[in-house]
Amino acid sequence: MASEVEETLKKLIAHKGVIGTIIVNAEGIPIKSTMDPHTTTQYSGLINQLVEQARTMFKEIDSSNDLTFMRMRTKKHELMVAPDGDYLLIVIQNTSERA
Amino acid sequence: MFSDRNAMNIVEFPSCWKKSRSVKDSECQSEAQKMVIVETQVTLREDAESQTEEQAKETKVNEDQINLPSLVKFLVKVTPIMEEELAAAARSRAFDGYELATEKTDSEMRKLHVLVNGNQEDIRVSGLTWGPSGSVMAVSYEMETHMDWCDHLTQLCIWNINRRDFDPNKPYKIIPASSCLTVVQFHPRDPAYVAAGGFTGEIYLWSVSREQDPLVANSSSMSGHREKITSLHWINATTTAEGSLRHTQLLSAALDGKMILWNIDMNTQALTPSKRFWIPAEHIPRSLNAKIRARTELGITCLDLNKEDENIILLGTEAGAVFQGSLAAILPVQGPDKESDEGPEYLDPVSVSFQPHRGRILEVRCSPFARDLFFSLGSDREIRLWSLLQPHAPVAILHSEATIPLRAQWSPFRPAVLALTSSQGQLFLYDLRQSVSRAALSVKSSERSVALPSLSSLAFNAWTPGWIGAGDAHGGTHVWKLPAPWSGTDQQTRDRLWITNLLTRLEDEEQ
Repeated sequence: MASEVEETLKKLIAHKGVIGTIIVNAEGIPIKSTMDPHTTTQYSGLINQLVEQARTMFKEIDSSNDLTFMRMRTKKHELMVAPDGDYLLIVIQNTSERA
Repeated sequence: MFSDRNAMNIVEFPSCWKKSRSVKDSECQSEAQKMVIVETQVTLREDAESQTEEQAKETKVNEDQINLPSLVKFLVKVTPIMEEELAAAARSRAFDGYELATEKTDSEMRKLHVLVNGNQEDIRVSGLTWGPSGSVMAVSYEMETHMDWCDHLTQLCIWNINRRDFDPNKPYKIIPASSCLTVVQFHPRDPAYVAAGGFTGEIYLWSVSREQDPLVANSSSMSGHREKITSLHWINATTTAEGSLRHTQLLSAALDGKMILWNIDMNTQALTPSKRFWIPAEHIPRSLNAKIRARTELGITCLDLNKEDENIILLGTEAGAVFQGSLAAILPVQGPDKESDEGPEYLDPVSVSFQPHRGRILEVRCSPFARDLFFSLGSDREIRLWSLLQPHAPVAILHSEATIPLRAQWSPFRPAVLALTSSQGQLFLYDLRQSVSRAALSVKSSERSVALPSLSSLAFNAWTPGWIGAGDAHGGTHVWKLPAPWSGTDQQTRDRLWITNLLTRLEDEEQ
């Protein structure tokens, strides 16, 4: 089953401009990553907080609502986050390469 | 009746048991005694202690701790969404040709904030420092004049510009100090620690994150400085687990001519000198014509560390001399104090002496980009650019436009840019690539045209491009944002090329 996880990450990273994928557990600790340890720790800790905050916000507006996907664009990257249950899937994409 | 009678017949008869004695020589010798020297020795024993570093906690989860089935379930559910989005993003033309509004409009200096702590007009901003991350700023204050011993109660004020409850008139953290503070320096990696030096020669190390009793350590005056601290730097400032400062040291320089390297002991709350340096008067260049007694103290007015080699330091002195020194110096010298002095012996740090300025040195700064380049600013209004390899003559001289220059600093983003403040409340920015004689940009600390307080301190924000802070003599700290070309990293290549040309041109001339 472990190979299945690896396969999926490989599939995602094959997409154009994708520079890394990270899977984070509910405590904000990275489980699987294709990036270097330092970047991984930074992204996973901070994005976990951000997602928590966004989730709380939508729940407050409408308690039956929930965050399903988040896409952010910055000067350098595009970040996509899929939160579901106990895990977060983070994909980081280069914006300049795609354009 | 008696008569002599001659006995005619002598009769002998030998003893039947006694024999006549004879003597004979005879020899006898014992065998030569053999002597042998044998040495034996026990091994000398020595004790050595060693301890391993505390390992930073590994934050990665072990493979076998992962609940695989649930992870796979999660991935199966989420991957199609992710792939769909990735495909959508590839097709999207939403951001084509999009430029950030903030990037376009800044063609002029923009004043962002003026930070004031209460209504303190008579107090001067003596030092300011940006904390790592670039949103926190600490400001130290001192009284303008001192008639005698300093017993002013001042404060170290800390603002966080990016906080939601940021108020330029009210710092979010205030640390009280028992004397005027003259320099302040944030730990370059860990925003929790800030070090400050005082007018009386004391050094404080505070922890910003502690609610009560922020003091982490301070220096004792017995082995420390006896006059105003003019410079303070962090050495080996790395971040370790749990904010430990075990290998970190502080380097201070003061007007009493001493330079001290401090160890930080968090348990006893003490800073203990690990090395002390003292510049002997014989290093003062002859051209200064100074009459100097052997024990004269040569007040250090500024100090900077080389950005690539932390052992190389540059010193500016009251007399106008500029020295290159080394923290690895081992030559002992006779120190300034006689009795009542405890602490390690004094070392002579000076290795090279540069051609002196006519007047007190206000600032020396090493370039953050080129190992060999630094500048010195003197009260003779000259900014001299030097190569470490050419102590006899500067590489270039800038005549400052400020009538009385005060502070200067290299830009942390543009190798060929430096900023200068004046006593007339102006901030000048030089683009050396464009011109070494005229400031390309100048700005006043306020709209008023006359009697602006002098800008007594200056600090580039090394984390947020374009932000620069300057403190004035009336207790106000100004924060500006420079126009984009002044902080753009896209200029770096050309700036570096300019510096290389500047330094090599001189070497060619020498040959």
